[in-house]
This record gives sequence, structure tokens and C-alpha cells, in this order.
Amino acid sequence: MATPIIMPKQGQSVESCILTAWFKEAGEYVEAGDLLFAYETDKTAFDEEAAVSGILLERFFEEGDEVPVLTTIAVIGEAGEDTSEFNPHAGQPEAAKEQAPAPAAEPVQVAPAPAAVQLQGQARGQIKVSPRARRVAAELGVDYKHAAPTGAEGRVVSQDILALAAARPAEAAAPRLEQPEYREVEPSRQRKLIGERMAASASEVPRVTLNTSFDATEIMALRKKLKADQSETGLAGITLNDMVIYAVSRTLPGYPELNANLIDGKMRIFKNAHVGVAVDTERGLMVPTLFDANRKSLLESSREVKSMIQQCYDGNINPDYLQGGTFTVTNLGSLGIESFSPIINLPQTGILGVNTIEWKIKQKDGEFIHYPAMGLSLTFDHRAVDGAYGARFLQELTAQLEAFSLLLCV
Amino acid sequence: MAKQLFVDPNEVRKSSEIEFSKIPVNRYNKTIEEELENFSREDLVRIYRDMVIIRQFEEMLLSIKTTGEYNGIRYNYPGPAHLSIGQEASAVGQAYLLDENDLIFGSHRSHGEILAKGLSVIEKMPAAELEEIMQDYLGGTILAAVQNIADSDTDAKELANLFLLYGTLAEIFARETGFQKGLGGSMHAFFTPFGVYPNNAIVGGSAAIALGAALYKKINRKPGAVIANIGDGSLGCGVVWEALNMASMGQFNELWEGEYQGGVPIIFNFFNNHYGMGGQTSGETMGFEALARVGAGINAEQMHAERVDGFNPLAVIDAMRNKLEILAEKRGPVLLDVVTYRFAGHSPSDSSTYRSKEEIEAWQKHDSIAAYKQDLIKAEIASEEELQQIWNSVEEQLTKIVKIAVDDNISPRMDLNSDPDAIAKYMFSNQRIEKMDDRPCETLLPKEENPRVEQIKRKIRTKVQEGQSAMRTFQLRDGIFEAIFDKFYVDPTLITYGEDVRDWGGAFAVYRGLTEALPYHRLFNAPISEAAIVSSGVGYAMAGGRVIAELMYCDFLGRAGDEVFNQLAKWQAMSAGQLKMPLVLRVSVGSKYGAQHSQDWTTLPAHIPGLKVVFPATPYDAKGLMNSALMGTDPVIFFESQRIYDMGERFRPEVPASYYEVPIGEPDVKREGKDVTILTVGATLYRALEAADTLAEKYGVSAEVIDARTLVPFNYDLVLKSVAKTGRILLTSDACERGSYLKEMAQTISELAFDDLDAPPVVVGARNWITPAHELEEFFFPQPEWMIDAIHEKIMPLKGHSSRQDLSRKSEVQRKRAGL
Repeated sequence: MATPIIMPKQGQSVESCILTAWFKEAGEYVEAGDLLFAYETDKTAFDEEAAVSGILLERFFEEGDEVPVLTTIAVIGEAGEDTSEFNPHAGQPEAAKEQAPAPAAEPVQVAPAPAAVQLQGQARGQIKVSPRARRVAAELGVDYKHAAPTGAEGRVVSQDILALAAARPAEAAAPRLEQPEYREVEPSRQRKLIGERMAASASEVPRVTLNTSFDATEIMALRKKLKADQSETGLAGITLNDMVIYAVSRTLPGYPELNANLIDGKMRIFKNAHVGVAVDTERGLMVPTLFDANRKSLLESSREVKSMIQQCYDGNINPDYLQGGTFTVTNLGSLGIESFSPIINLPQTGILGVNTIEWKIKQKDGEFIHYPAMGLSLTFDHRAVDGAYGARFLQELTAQLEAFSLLLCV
Repeated sequence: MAKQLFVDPNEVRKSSEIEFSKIPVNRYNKTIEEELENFSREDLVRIYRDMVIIRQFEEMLLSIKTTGEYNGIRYNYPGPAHLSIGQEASAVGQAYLLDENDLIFGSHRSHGEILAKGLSVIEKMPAAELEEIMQDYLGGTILAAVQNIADSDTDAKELANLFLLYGTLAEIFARETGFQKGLGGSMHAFFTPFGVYPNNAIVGGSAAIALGAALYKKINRKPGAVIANIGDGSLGCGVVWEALNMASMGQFNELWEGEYQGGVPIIFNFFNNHYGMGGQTSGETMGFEALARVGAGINAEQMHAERVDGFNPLAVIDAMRNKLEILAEKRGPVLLDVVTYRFAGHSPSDSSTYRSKEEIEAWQKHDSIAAYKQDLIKAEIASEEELQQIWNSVEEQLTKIVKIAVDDNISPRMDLNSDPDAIAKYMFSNQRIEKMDDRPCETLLPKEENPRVEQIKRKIRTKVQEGQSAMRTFQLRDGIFEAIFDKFYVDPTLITYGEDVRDWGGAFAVYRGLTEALPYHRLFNAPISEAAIVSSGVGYAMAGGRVIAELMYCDFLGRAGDEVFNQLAKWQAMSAGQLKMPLVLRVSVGSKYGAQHSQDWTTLPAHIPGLKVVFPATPYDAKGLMNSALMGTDPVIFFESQRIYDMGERFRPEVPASYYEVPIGEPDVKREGKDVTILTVGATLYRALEAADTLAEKYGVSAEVIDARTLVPFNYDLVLKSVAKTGRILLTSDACERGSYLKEMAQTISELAFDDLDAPPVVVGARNWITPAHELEEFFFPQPEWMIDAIHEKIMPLKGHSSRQDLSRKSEVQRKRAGL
């Protein structure tokens, strides 16, 4: 039975994706789990495995095409099976095909089902999913929206979820291209985007960086204590960076102009702190957002950040999480950087660089004492914020971090 | 059918005339002075007292219903009150000679009968016995309540009188200290230790139930007579005619043998108050003119019918004496037309628009209590003061009773908050009683000499092999037979009857061999009276016996609607567990016989709370379930499919010849599978298996087939486990799809297994049409292909399958809109 392969919908806001690579040729045999194609949104890139085995009967799109999500891009089945019913171009004039992508609500083509039924389900643009499939999806932590439906009446059923889950650990199997002496690489859409944004940020934004450091004795002591925790709560996984994010999230609401987006000359001040966390991945820099960070406990924040970082590494982060930040924390401290001038993630107004810990000396009660000092670099958009404002933010932030246990009690 | 009876054409075709003898009307003509030789003065005064008790009891209820108070006690009673003010003499006269072995069954208007019979029994019963009954009944709770108003010097009889009045009133007021813990109420109060059996709110409902109790007395040689107290209005009810007719069956005299020969000890006592609600039975809604006339049409003895003056207690006692003698001589049944009149309306909401004030006043001038009182005074049996004193003391006593009956501390209601199962626990008695009496079983042959047993011995009991002849196969009908046959040698009270069960062996040969085994009184042919067959079974079981009744076709269930739905189903719970109902109703589901003989109506009894409903489809299950049904004490509707009576065992290694039970309520996996579950009811099992074969062979889909075996009760665990595995379920049976019990099961599964389902549970039933001729049945009853189509369209697309049926939503909506 011919099974349509659709362009997955990655996140609610994504309407179309670029098909970046085909890993199988038409007519080639595909095993369920084989890497089938790659695609990317404007925020992240993905590899897709085949959910079913069979012959790749037809590919409806080529590399580089922009494809509306949920559109059938190929069909897998048995040799000789007719694929025409799945062809999304069917009925479209040849010329139109080139320019106008099919509408976003392009129907999900499914296994043969009575036409009337199919239309009814599609008209509302809904994905039908069985209760069992929902349950299994929740258990396996996969998104049923990505599953190719094979049930009656175009319903996503549990086996579709199992197929989807089986195809998930995709990235590990991604093929590595041989490195030639040199190669000319068209920057990925994502790299291009990063580049454009960074350039814009650097050239358009009058930015100022303030450097400071604070006594990290207390957070290091806490970290040591947490690390020794034997429970399965995740306490042992809380990092110094998590603590900095925590303190930032508590400090930001008092500095609304730093918890803001500056768009077309207007300041959008946010009620809650949605803290972006810069992650270095193979694909480049990704900044998932810890939404409502100021309302989450240290443990909750830590777990969520850890999970998002992993998803960034795995390439399966929901693109909805790659936007919406109000302030960013970026950490180069683990790489030994003592201070730097991070680039603001527009349209945000500030970014905090977290640096390495150095031993410093300070005078206390007439004596010089050694203490571990963690460096912080705050870059802000001078259009939004004045220098003294940024300095006061840093001052309060460092005070919070030096008395971190008190902050936890608030 | 009885070969002994020769239908002689010479006799039948001969010219002659039918002669009737005269039916006496109010022939009693003695004066009270003349009766002094038959009654003591105390007896005559006590008759007055009993009438006064009833009068005041009913007037008390009328006062509470219409004014919200009685003698300064305020109370709101929202329930029914069908009062018998005016009819006291007829109740007291009837009860006067009866003792606890005589059973009365009544109507919605029977408060007076309960009190009259109770007072009469209390008068006759030794004090120790009364005390024991009061202490034992409901763990002594009623007695404890009554002791609030008893003095230390109250003797057992006085205490028992208080007990009777209080237990009845508390029952009317729905108190847990009522005779049925409040589950019966005004129209259904009774008290079996005094021989007061259920009163029935369905007009005429008691007629055939009482007949069943009388059969129990006769067949089990128990002392006492049975009286069906019904009204003149009930002569409009089919079941009453069926009961009169069945009670008069010729076989009692012609075919029953030895001491079992002779008539049934029952009096059909019509309290003829001339109105069926507002309809005037004589002159308006019926044509008998004088009700006693009806007896003349029933049998040659004219049912010893007689009209009696129900306004004179002594006339009624005289008639009863006479009729009880007839019953003792095994010359029953008897019909009595006891003329009387109710002064109050049908119920307090009745404004008596259908009768004139003059008529009511004229009858009030004949008021039995006033007239009898004058007779007593005139004959110097009692003085006016003495009788007034009786009136006053009854009122005083009643006031005390009302006070405690409305007191929530002394007379609480069932507390369903603290005990949510207070009513639920009475829906089934769930007991295991091997035999309802301990005495030898009367049979005609040793088991092993029975021709059917010999025939079965030659049959193959092991799993059917390919090409095995049906004749040599132990069939489903043999499984049913074997369980029943064995039980007849264990439980001496067990009887079975229905249409053509004797000689013929039942229309489908299940009972072949029983005729040789059993005397007439344990196996007999009933008239074609489905209502009376079921209803008399209810009475037989209620009185203490075990019975298998039979409906030849499921389609005839409608003929026994009230009897199955209101009587059989309800009396265990309405008695708060005091009555048991060990009745198995065999119902054969037809095929090949068109619209009125081939319907699967399993859904109907399954809907009614209080019935167990089974439908086995294999010889092993049929025998095991019948054994369970016959071991229990609950009513079981035992469906059998005519399509598979000759089916051999296809699943078990063999059908054991020894006793075993299949528990009622447990479905059974008939074939294991992993992709889709098919739940079947009845004979559809075999079509589902065909579908499962095709699914496996053509589509590589492995179906798990589960046979429900029972509809009520039903253990869902097995089905839920299966659905957890497969994620998909199709339900199928021969019942019409709309409203079928499968829909109930599908809904329950949706609810309990929602997160396990990959598709909605889908029901494949018969079309919502009439059942057509056999030649067209494949278009009506679910076929294997229908099941596959439904799986393909609604559950899981099957590769390469295309449906022959239009199962689209649009068509389905259209069909529903058209009522199809």
C-alpha cells in the first residue's frame, strides 16, 4: 500500500520549510529508519527518516524547493503502485507550480478512504489523532503532529507514532561528508540568518559593554552541595550557569528596559522574563528561550534548560522555542574567556556574557583574602538603556549572586 | 398435545347444547342472631374492630394526603394512596378464616387486605411464634421501633398488632423500618410471615403470580390456599384471562396422576368496586353485567363462581368457608365476585367526576361498618359504648403509630449517603442453593435408562473434527438438555413448562427425553399464554420453588412484557431481599421465519435492572451457563439461537458429561489475536470467526474474537485487556443495530478504554428493518463481509480492500435522519 511522505510541521508558527537534501533516489528501496531527506525552517534544520519501508516511488519536490508543511513530498510503496492520487501538483498549471507554493492548508494525503470523509477532515485543517496515539505519543515524548496518518478516516494511530519514534534518533546517523582540502559551501539558511542578524546588530545598534565580576564563593559552595545530591530529582545537575540565569530572571523585572524588545523604534516591555540561553551546536549558535524564567524554580529552570540544550544538539527543538526571548545569557566561561563583548540578539536590548572564574584578592577587615571571581559582561543597546542603568542592573545582579541563598528564599 | 386424549370426531361433531348452571348472587341470608351458633361474641366484635382499624388507617392516610396532618401530627407524604374506605367488610370477611399458610396476593389498593389478613393470622398464631417472627424479621428493627410505644404489660398479640400497623405504615412512608425497608411502598407492601404476599401496582398483575404460588402449593404438597385479590377493572387485562384459563387447564384432572390429580387451590377474588379507576366496568368498559358471569365461560365447573355481598362481613366469611372447602377437595379454581364500593376516590387526586354525589351517598347509607355496628347493638352482642370504646382505642393506638412512623430517629430512611449500595445490594440475591427443598425427586425413570441419555452416550463429546456428522455430534441442544435433566434429579421443586414442552419435546427438541423422565406435575404443556407462563413462574419461584419457564420464540417476549420487565425483574429488590427468584426463562431466538419469528431482542431484558441475561453459543458454554443459572437464586433470561442448536463444540477439547459451571458474567476469548478485537453476542460468533479467517488470510490482520456469553452482569476486564492490546474493537450481534445492547457495550468501552483506542468501537448489527424471509436474511443479519467492510472503513484501512457497503458519514447521517 502506497504511503505518502509529508513535509513535517515543526512548530505552530512554521508554514513552510526548505527541502535541503534528498538522501534517496526515486526508485531506490528504503528501509524504515533510513535517512530520507533533510529540511530546515528559518530557525533550525532537521533530518527525516523513513517511517515505512518500500520503494521511494516518486519525489514531488527537489532540493531547494520551499514546501508548505504537511504537503506530500514523496510516496513510498510497492513497485508499480500508482502515486498520482498523492501528487500535490495535480491539477495545477505547470507554470503556477514553479512560483506559487501550494497553500499552507494543503490537505494531508492519506491512505485510501472515502472521498467525502477525507474532505471533511481536511476542510478544518485538523489533524485527526486517535486517543491511543495521543497517549503513546505522550509516553514516547514525540509530537503526533509529525506522524504520517495511516488509520481509517485519515487518523493518526498508534503505529504511526511508533514509526515516528523509531525514526527519531536521526541526527546521530546523519552522514558526514568527506572533508576536501577546501570546499565552497553555500551557507545554510540558518548560518545566513545568524550572519545577517549579527551584522545588523553590530552595525545598526549603538552598543556598550560593561564588565564586572563578583565573589562566587557562595554559588560554588551551593553547587558543590547540589552535586553531591543522590536523589533523582535533578538537583545534582544544577550548574553555575543555571544559577546565573536564575539571578538574571529575578533581577530583570526591576529593569524593564533590559527585559524588552525594541521594534521599529517602539519599546515592547515584557511582564515576565523570557531568558534566551545561547547554545553552541554543530549547526551554529541556537538560542532557545526559557519562557517565564522568573516564575520557575531553580530546579525547574535547570531541567528545562538542560532539555532544550539537548534538543538543540539533537536538532529536534521546536522552532517555537527559538524565538520570543526578552534577554539573553551566553556563557563562554567554560571555554576560559575572561571577558568579551557579546552581540545583542535583536530585537532584545541586552545580553549578559558569563565568563570564567579567576582567583582575585580583596581586602576584608584589614586583611587580603583570596576569592573566586566570576566575570560578567553586559552588552546593551544604548538606544534603549543608559550606561548607569546597565551598571545598576549589574550591581544588583552581582549582589544577588553573592547572596544567592538569600535570593532562593525570596 | 397428549396422546391419551382422543379427539373423537363423532363426539365433537354431534349436535347438542352447552348447559350452564345458575350462578348464585348474594345468596347469604342469615341474621347475626342466627350466626351466633357459628361465632363467639368476641369473634363478632373482633370483626368490627378489624374493620374499624382499616377504616381509620385509610382515613388517617387520606387526612395526611389532603390536609398534611393527622390528629395534630404534621406530615407531608408525597407518595401514592389508593384507599379502600368502604371496602373493609370484604377484606375482613375474606381474611377471617385464613391462616399463615394461606397466601394472599393483592393490588395497588390493598392496605386493608394486609391489615385484615395480618390481624387474622395474629389471632390464630401462638404467642411464641409471633414473638419469634417479630424478633427475626429484619433483625428485629421493626420490633425495636414499635417497642417505643409498647408498655411492659403489652402482650404478644397486642404487640403484633402494633407491629403490623407500624410495619405497613412505615413501608408506605418509605422508612427503612417498613416491611420492605421502604423499597416497596404503598402499592407493594406485604409481609410473607403472615402469608401476605406482594401487592402489585400493575392492574391484574397478581392473577398469574398467585396462580404460580398455587401451583407451588399443589406440586410441592404444601398446605394452604392462594388468593389473588384483583379488581373488577383487571378483567380488561389479558394476563388475568390467561391466568383464569391456565388455572383451569383440563390436564389437572385428565392427565396429572395420583395425589397430583385435581384442581389448583386458588381463588380469583375480584373486589368488585365497580370502577377501574373511573371506568365503570359494568355498563361502560365491559359487558359482563355481573362479573361472576365470567366464571361460566372458563370451565365446566364455571369456576364455582359466585357473587357475594362484600358489604356484609358475615356473607363474605360464609362464601369463603364454602370456597375453601372446594379448594381442599381439589376442585379449584374458584372465582369470587365480591361486590363492594370505595367511598374515596381512586386516589386523593381523584375528584370523582365520573360518578354522582347521589351514588356515593346511597352507598354511604349502606356503610358496612355502621350497619354491622347497628346489628351488633340490636342483637345485644355489644353495647354502643363498648363499640365506641373500640373506635377510640384504635384511634389512640393509630395516633401513637403515626407519631413514631414520621419520626426520623425512630423510623429513618435508607441512608444512601453512608451506604450507597443500600439498594444495589438487593438487585440480585446471588446465592448458590443446589436444591430449594430437601426431599426425594419424583421421576419416572433412572437417569441412565432415559432414551435421550442413551442417544447422547453414542455422541462424540470431543472437539468437532472436519467432516463429522451432526447426528453423531454432541450439540448445543444436548448441552442445555443435560444441565436441565441432571437438575431434575437434584432439586425436587424444579418444574418446567411452556408451549409444547411435553411429548413434543419442545419445538427445537431440547427437551426430547424429558417426557419419559418426569411426571406431569414437573413437566407440562402450558396454554399459549406467554404472560401467564412467565408470571406464574414468578409466583412459583417467589413461593419457594425453582422453575424453568420457556418462550418458544424471542418474538413472544412482547407478549410477556410486563411479566418479564415489571414482575420477574423487580420483586427481589422490591422485597429488600426477602424474596428470591430462582427462575430461568429459556428464550429461543428464531431464524428463517421472517418478521415476527426471527428477532434478537436480547437488548430488551438487558436494559431492565434486576435480570441476568445470558446467550451461550457453544455446547460447553450452554451446559455450563445453564448449570450456573440453575444453581443460583436470581432470574436468568437464557437466550438460545435456533441457528446453532445443532452446533458441536469447536473450542473446548470436550464437553464434560459431569457437572461443571460456566460463571455468569464472564466473556471468553474464542480466538486469540493482536490487531483487532471482535466482541460477539450469540450465534454471530461463527460469522465473526469467518471474518477473522478472511482478515488473516487476505489482509494479514490478526483478529481476537471474544464471545460475550453473558450480557448482564458483564466483566469488562477481559475485553479491556484485549483492547489495550489491539487498540481496536468491533462489536457484532444479530440484534438490530439501533439501540442494541452492543451500543451500550461500545459506549462503556469508549469510556473505560479511551486512551487505548486507535479508532472508535464500531457496532455491526442487523439492519433497522423487519426481519425478511430466510431467502433475504443475508441482507439483514450481519455477514462476515459487513464486519470486514466496517473494519476497513472505520477502524483500520485494509490494503487492497474495497467496501461493498456505503459506510460514509453522509450516508449514515441520512439513514439516521430517515429513522433507519
